Amino acid sequence: MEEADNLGKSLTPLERKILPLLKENNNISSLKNSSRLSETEISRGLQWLENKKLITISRAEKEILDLDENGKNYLKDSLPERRFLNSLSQNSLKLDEIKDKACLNDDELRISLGLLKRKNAIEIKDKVSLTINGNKLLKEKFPEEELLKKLPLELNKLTEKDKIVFFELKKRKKIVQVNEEKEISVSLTPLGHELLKKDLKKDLLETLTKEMLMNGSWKNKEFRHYSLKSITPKIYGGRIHPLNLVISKIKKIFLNMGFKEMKSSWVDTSFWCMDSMWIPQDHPSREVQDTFFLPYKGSIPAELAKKVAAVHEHGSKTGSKGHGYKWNPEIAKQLILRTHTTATTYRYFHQKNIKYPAKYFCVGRIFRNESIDATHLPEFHQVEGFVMDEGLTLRDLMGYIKEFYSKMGINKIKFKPAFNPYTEPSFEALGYNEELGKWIELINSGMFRPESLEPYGINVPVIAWGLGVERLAMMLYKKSDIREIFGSSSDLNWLRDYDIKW
Amino acid sequence: MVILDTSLIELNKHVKRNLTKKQLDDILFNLGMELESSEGNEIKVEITPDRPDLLSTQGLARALRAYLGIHKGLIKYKIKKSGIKINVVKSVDIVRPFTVAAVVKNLKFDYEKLKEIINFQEKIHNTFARKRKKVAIGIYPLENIKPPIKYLAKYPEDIKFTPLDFKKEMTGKEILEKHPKGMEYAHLLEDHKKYPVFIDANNKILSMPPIINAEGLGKVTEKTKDVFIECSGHDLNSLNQVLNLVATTLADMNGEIYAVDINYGNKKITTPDLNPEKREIKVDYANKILGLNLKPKEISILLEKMNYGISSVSKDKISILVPKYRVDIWHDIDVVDDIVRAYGVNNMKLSFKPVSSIAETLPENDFIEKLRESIIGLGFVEAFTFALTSKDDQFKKMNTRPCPYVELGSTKEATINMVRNWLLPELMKFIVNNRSKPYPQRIFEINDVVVPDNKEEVKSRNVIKLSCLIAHEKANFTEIKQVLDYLSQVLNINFNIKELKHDSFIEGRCASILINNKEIGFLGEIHPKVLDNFQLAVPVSALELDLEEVFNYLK
Repeated sequence: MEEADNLGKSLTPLERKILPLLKENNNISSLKNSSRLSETEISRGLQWLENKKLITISRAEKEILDLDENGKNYLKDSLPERRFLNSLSQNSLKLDEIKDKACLNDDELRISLGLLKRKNAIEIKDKVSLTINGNKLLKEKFPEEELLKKLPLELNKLTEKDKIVFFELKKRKKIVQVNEEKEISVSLTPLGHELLKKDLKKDLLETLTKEMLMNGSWKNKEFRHYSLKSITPKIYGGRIHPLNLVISKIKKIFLNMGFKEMKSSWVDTSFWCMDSMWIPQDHPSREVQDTFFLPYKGSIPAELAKKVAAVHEHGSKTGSKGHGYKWNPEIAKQLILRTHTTATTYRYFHQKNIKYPAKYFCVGRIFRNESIDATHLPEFHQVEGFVMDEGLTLRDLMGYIKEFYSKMGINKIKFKPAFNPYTEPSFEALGYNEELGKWIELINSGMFRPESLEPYGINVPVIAWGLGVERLAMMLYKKSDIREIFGSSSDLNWLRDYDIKW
Repeated sequence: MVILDTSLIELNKHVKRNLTKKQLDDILFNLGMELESSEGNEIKVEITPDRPDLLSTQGLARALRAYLGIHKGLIKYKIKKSGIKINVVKSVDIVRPFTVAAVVKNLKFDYEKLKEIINFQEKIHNTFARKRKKVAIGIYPLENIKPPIKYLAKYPEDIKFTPLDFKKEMTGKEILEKHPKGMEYAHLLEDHKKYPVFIDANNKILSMPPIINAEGLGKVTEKTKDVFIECSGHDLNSLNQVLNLVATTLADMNGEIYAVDINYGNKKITTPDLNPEKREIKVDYANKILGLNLKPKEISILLEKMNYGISSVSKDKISILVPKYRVDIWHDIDVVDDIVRAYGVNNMKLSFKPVSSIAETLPENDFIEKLRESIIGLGFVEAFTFALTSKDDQFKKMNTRPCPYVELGSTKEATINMVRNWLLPELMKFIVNNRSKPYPQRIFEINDVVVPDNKEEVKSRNVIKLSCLIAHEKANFTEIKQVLDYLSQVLNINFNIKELKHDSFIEGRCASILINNKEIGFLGEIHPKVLDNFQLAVPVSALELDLEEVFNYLK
């Protein structure tokens, strides 16, 4: 009962108009006649009523036989064979004369001739003349003419006789056609019947208008209820890119921990990417196969280069053996696309003359000479942070990483010793991904080597860690192809619809 | 990633334990390595790249024996005199000036051992020896060589021998041109007038380093018992390191090491020298790095687990002996690293020393963030595209002539050859890739491009740009102009507009954007030629703005 009441309030004017008519009518054409609504309006109204479970609609497909283009004309001007026949009503004629008198084209002439001969209506000698049967036919209708007059008809309701006529007509050019028509029949559900017993004439308000508000006409009236669950058209909003969302989250973590932000340019010298941090001059990462070289060289800071040369060659005053070669400034001047953001860190050591205590971080794009596939890109993003202070230990490095991980929601971590040319000791820090049920290698970390710090006059421990942003983003958004996360082949629909992870 | 292929049975035989794969993996993890994969008995171990001494079953077993306490501390290698001499002729000075050598006798080679030593040699070549550039290793059966050996350089046409696995005699030149190893390593010799060779007292060629041994004197087989090993290269230190690696590995196969005298004319040396290097580790230094309070005795026990010898332990320092096969000990910090590995990283308690500093963002990044939010407010979706692109995409498809850009040398990825100079073409690609997605499409990106600049020490600089694109059936100038007007409002800058002829845009529907008469960007309707080039059948209007200029103006 209550359901019917509520439904009553939610009927649109269209539905309210159609529903009562359904007592007597059950198809579109009769509804059209009794409602004076257009077919589209009726279909829409019926659809809504069906959604509300007030009616059921059964849909059937019918084949309808109807006049085609020529058929329509023939109905008006008679069939060619009829015109042929009529032209001979007075006297016998030659074919040419018939053609003119009956206004037939060659095709029509040929067909009519054949047809009338088969009907035994004409005789052909020098001229064409009517037979007795022909004379009789002048006063009778052909079965073809009778059928055409009756159209449209449902194909499977034709009489056997009509069917034969139809097959004949079908062979001829554009006289009849068969159309598929969807026919619906509507019946009221018990709920629909119940609703009809109520007063549907109720004056419900539709759209709230400015006028209504001005003149108060809404007062003491009821608004029509909307069907709140119906599907609404989709809209799209502007979104931040998911990769940037991850980056901004990581930035926030660093900022919350009191870190300062750094940046430097994408093109840099090998000096800043490698030499500055004691990576040997014959290190494999310096080769063209791994790194993007620019076809020219840059310049390097002369004073610092001397100090860097000393630690490379013999370890300077660090107590290190050094690499034991003659340091070559030309190799250091090679311009490359930076291979890691540690280049930025060492630039800051030098250019900002950073004094302890200090905490810095940077998020930046880095480049490796790789070909593109699902797990590799020649460019990606790295985040890196360092802490410089007296008395920092390896246990502090581990503590900082734990803090960083826990702020990303990862609480179970373990460490694996690793090698890195500019940090010692070095670790990989693995985080346990509860969802995937496995350990994921995300963070690389270490204490900067004394040889890498000496040229900058830094003699307190510096602990540092970094991670790849795309790798993290792929894990968070469960993507297996890195190109979905980064690059111009990302799916716009995903960028519009992705769920906010954090 | 450096991988050791071995079998669990073989490794266990040398370790003298019956380790399961799980046990082995756990130990390897603590030492910074990994059981990369295993199939049946065959295992692949990922070796830490600073430890070439672990690249053989024998080497890994040696470290595991010490770590498990089966054979702790320093392994002493006895060296006898072989009486064999190498005379180095000055002619090698320019091409490959140094060599060191050793003899190992009484080896019982079998198929497995032979494979092991060949793999080890190859792996050292590809890693520490920098693809033979730094060091090349040659191993020969001693039986057929008649000492003394001579190391000299000869004209390539005068070098004639049958290289390994070949049947025909070839000249040095032919080897570089035709032999597979010759072609692979030709770049190491081809610029020189003379190539180095080792020859014996019968004037027979042993090898032409760093390329190939001779089939006659340089082929080690399962029957070989005694071997002659030489290393050639450019610095004695690395050569000795590699020779020590090879000699100790062969000694661990139960061989006996014999020394070789090398005569450089003015200087004579005897190799290999396996006398351990002495170091003093201060207890305080180690504890300060680690944040632990280890006693000297504890440290010395840990170091013995890592194959160090202990010569004395006092209250504040430990005198240690570093094995000669360790090539990764430059500084005391490297010894401390081994203490950590022996102690177990995951046994360390975490600590968090508060370090006081105040958070600080870069003002330009703050500006970008605010601007990004405003543009998203207009319903624009942010794109994030590649900086590496091609001249074709950046200029040709955009119907413009190239402006100065940063070019790349050789690239593995065929579709890239430069760093982007502007953002718009990359966003065009984005729309092309998403052409089947619902319209209107409004996308934007705020990101860096790189422009050449000779005033900079890196001959270029990053510039932050903004680009907005609108694509749908009726995209037009007005719509993109509205975006600019909106930006002008939120930034409180009065942008001036001036008609601009730009080949990427339709003439008369493109304008430059100016602040104080300086052009800082442009906007307009993309030219149908450009849309054709990208095979895009939808109108696009777009703007590109130099945010560096905007930011500087606002400052």
